[in-house]
Amino acid sequence: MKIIFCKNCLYGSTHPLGITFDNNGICSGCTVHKEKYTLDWRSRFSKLSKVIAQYRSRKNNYDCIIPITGAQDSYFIVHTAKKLGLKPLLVCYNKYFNTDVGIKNLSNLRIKFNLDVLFQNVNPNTVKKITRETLSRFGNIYWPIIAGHTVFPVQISIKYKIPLIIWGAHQGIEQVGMNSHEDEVEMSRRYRKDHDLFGYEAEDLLMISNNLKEADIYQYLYPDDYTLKKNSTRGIYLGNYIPWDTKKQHELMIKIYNYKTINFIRTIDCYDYVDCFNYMNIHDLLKIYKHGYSKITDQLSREIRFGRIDRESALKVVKKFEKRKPKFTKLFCDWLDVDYKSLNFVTESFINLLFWKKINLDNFKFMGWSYLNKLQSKKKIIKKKFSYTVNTKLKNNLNYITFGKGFS
Amino acid sequence: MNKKRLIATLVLLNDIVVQSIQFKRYLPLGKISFFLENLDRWGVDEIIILDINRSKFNIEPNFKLFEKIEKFKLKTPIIYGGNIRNKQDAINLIRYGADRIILGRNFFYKTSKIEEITQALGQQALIFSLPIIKKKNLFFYDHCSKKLICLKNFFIDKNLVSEIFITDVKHEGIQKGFDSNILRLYNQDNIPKIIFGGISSSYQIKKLLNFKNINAFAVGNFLSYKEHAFQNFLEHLPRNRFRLPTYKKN
Repeated sequence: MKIIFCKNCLYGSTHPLGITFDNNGICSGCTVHKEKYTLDWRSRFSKLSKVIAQYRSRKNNYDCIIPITGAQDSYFIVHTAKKLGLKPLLVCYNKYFNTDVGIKNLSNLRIKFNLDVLFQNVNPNTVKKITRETLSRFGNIYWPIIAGHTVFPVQISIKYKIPLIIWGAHQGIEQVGMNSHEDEVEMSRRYRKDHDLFGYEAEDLLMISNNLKEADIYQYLYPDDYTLKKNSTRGIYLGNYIPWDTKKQHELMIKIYNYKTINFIRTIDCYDYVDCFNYMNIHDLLKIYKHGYSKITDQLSREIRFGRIDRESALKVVKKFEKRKPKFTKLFCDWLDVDYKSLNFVTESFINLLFWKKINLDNFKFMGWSYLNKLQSKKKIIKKKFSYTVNTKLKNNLNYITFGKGFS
Repeated sequence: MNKKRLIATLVLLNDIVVQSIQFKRYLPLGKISFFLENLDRWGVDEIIILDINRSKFNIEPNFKLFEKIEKFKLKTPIIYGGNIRNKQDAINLIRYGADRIILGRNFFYKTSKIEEITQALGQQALIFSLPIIKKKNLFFYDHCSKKLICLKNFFIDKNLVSEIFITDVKHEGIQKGFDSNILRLYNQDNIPKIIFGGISSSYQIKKLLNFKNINAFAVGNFLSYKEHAFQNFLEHLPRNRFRLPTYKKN
């Protein structure tokens, strides 16, 4: 199988979200990214104001729901909502792999913005059961977290009769240019199943697993069409109305609200996923096993598009970071109650031979995107170095920070 | 009065569903199985799959796709178009599970070739595709050779196919698209039509309702932007001309 690479960024034709290339070899992600410089964003922001106007509560109730975490643009989304004069109800799914920095960020967000937060704490024994299942079935430890984070706001929308949910950027648009920003694409069940949940909704897990029971997946069930319609639930993405630049936005949040950031072993981006022990570690390892590239490729493709790094330098950085051994694996083994060897056995069973060559029983040679990507860009080298602000570090006594029902 | 149908169209490029813009630019959307499952739950009248690279690279129709589709046990009829070359391709597609098929450029230059397929499968299973570019006159757009062929003297025997699938190529994938002048200029009225290309709102459909012999409207990209996009179209269309939207309960 021949993999085509974008002449501008680092993305290849096997991107799991799907990707297209134009006649000049530029990927759909780069093409749509150009809209950030060509659209009239002032008028798009006015459009956002009009969209939300109809949702302002007259009964002093909440105007909208904002899903939050202790990282990932949460501050900027809430900051924008407040700027628009909205009174949001914040909702947070407890992912259990919480770092102390993530918890501090959450608590700081709650205090600085002075807003109500609802937490969902699914029984950790159930979460572990599902995690074991999704890890062994399709090599994913993050299914419960993504499923919870994307369904809890919808459930609360119905329970509290608050139709509007505000999300940050649309991952499909940011990475592979699934839609033009002008399409004003909204949250949908189809997108969630296809791209967020790896093709499996909660009820689908029951079809492939003998270990899970209906009660285990109950908290993750997406409301039906009739209920959604009756409540007029709607999820909009701010990225369609604001030229989304997560690095710049995080830096603004550091300055205004003292958002905390940390160093990671497998990437130079210190802003995203600071709330989680596993996203940039074992989850990222599984990504490179399965898809032949890791999160740093996503992050640096984005930075190339913003013109903050050139393609050649980005590729060098990717090669330096992507093969580093993930940290905190023991913590994960302890949490899931599996031994290290068993975990390795399972994770390595997902190594995709399209991107890895088997040398002997336990050894694989990496032949993923950064290895195959031999395209030379004609673009000028950007000499100015770009950097990330790191303003804290994880405390020495490492453990998942628990709250709610989060006993380990 | 017969009710009109509202059809969902999926454009397939290298096995992924894409947004197509004037059949020139494509943006990735996702895997076809999730689109089919979703559209089926929404209760669309029919689903058209346009597998556009098949004729460009002269590859056989995507028979394997129907093996994948089978497991979803869809209730919605599936119409397939994608380099159907001859009677055998047509029969195979129906055997694999397509409910109807779209015959395209392979038959444009010799429509009489359709007759043997009509005899084998029946007229009701066949739709003829006419991608049209409007200049002063109407032109057939051959997307493989990029040639334009004047449609002035083009007629297709009304006994060969059940419907004509007219695409406004210039406005395909563009909001507020379909050019009603195509219907004014198109001179064959004795075969029912399916209209496709740039239909992005129910308002546009309402404007086209008075044209003669339109059986159905096909919507593509615009069904993928929002939850219940299909039902939203129906909500704003006259109840006596279209059926009621449905919202599935668990």
